Amino acid sequence: MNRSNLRTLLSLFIVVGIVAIYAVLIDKPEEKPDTDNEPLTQLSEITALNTTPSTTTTTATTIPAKPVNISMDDALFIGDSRTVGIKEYAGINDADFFCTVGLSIYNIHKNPVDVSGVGKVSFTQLISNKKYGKIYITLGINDLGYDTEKTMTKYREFIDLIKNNQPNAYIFIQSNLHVTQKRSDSDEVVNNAAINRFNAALSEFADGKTIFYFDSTGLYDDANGNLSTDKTGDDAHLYAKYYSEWGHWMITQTALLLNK
Amino acid sequence: MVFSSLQFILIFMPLLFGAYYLLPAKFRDSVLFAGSLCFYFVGTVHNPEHFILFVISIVLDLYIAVAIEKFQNRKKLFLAIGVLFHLLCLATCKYSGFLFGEINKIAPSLDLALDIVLPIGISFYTFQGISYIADVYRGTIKAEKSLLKYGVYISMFEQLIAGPIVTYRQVRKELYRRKLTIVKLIKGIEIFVFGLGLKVLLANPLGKLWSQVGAIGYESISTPLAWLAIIAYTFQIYFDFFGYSLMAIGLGKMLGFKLPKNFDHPYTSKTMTEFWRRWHITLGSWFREYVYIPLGGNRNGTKATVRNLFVVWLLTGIWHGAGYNFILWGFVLFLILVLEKFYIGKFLDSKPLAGHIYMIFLIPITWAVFAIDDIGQLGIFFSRLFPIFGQGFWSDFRYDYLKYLKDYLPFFIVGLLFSTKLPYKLLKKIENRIIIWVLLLAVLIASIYCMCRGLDDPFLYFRF
Repeated sequence: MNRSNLRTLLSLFIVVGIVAIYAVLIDKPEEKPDTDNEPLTQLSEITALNTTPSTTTTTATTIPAKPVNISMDDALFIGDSRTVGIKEYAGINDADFFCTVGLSIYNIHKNPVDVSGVGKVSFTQLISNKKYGKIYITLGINDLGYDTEKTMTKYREFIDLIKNNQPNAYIFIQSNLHVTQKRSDSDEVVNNAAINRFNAALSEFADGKTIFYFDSTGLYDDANGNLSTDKTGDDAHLYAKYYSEWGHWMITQTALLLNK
Repeated sequence: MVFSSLQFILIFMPLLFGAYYLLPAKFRDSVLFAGSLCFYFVGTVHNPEHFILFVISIVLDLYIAVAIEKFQNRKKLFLAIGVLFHLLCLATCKYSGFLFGEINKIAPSLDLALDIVLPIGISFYTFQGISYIADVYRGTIKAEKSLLKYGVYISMFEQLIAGPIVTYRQVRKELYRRKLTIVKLIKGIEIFVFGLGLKVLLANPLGKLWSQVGAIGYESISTPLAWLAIIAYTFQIYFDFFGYSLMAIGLGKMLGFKLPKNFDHPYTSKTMTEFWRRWHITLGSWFREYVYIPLGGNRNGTKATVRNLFVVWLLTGIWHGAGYNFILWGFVLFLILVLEKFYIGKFLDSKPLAGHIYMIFLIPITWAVFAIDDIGQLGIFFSRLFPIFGQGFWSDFRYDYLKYLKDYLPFFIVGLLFSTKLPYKLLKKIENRIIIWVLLLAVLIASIYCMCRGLDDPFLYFRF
């Protein structure tokens, strides 16, 4: 073996040795016990609340076999990409939809949105010019990175704005669906622990009179409380075929609550 | 570390090229080898065993080749050891996870599911290693005596993780004598930036449409949207891989190497046979030289030719990934190529219009088989492409395709344009004018802006 090769080989040997030591020392990303996903006290209370019939909160249990017939022509859906999914695939054609991908409580007043049958309007313009009987809000997944307390203040202001402009409307605050375990484990912001915390805070807005909390969080979950992988193609959004079910679930819950 | 990342462009490139150009020429090989190993280490940082495997394969290749040359009477044995080593590593890393997963489905009680992470670039450096050993065995090249030179050849970062598959023969001269000139450096930067633009500004956005359609679910898309999606994927895979290859060639030029061309306007082909002469050229050449011809090529009659083509295309299919769809994809290509070779190829070659129409239709269809790894989902997707087999033309969201067409139309137009030869001819005309620098600067700024916004994503070919 010539001297140059010996030198290269020796260098490689040292490099490999260092890498081997590194390999032994590094913490391989392991399946850590998901303590973050432990239900919070707050959430446990909600779960407990839901075991008895509630007038403030409805919890996802089963998907209705048949949609209940209830008029949705006085309904307004407000939300992010998941509400866009409802708009496009749920077949609730009579309702209005104020929704865009990425919509959050922080940017809802920023840009006008094209509302079918109404035109391009800001949120304030929409609710000050048209009267609604039912207003569904599905926001939050895009707000997870912000300070929760600040977000909830914004949320409160948002609900107050709606109430001031639509005193006769029922407001249904919808929980945020989970993401898959893969997404949850790899995302420091958008994970199921944060979603649970956020939903728990949202549920506090329900007053059982005109504001209700729809807890559909577990509707499409797997046994471990994560969004089921066979129901999503991107770990966060439902396949389009499930939006119809989800929409019908909301309509059914609305009918049940209003009949009460 | 991908080429289209800020980490690569703003940290790795200045450091490596700074050392490469500023240090005395005698250190260039060492700088390049060390830099390439660093590059590979960053990519394998969570799986350092992959790095060790890579170094072992470099050292083994060198000494196997030396042994082949030295012990002529036992050269077959050494060839077998070298090739088997590479194939075993490739098979274990790439296919055992899939294989055990399938066994697990049949017999879950065996609990054989394995989660094996594929070492980056193994499909590429394995093929380079095999080509080197085989060439020494055949006597077409002399065995490299310097570990440093051989290490540089295999590990050169610009081609290490996604090709082009460079043979030792192609770069031997430059391994020993390469000239660095300012002209080459500038040309290299130009090619790199152009490739970066194709990847970041064209392939990535179009790839987003394909992902969006996957998130909707194939059963819920209209037929026009299914076609839009597969055309988007057709452009994405081309500009992704073509862009990457250009970046590699550009970086090679900056280092003083002339890497082989990997694409030659494949979407302008009139037949699938021609397409595969123009698409991933270095892979096609590798299979021709190290599989098809050693098997006898087309010299032993029709039956043997068909058999050889079958072997080559089956291997091409599974080289691209472990999954039934890759086997099916290879088989479909085999059928098309046989059909062309013996029946319709001459006709299509002589009638360009018919050839182009045939390929415009066939290219996206074959990419659909390639892209969708779940056979059930593939069936659903085809029922949307061809609604005659399925639930009709439209989806619940009646004008879904208009929504996406509105968002993506400019990218489709640019994609179509850059699939033809026209823009390249125009660029050639202005290559020495200042305007090219203005254009490329704009492309660079736009690409870096997209990278900062997190709009870059890994290359499709990294999983192979």
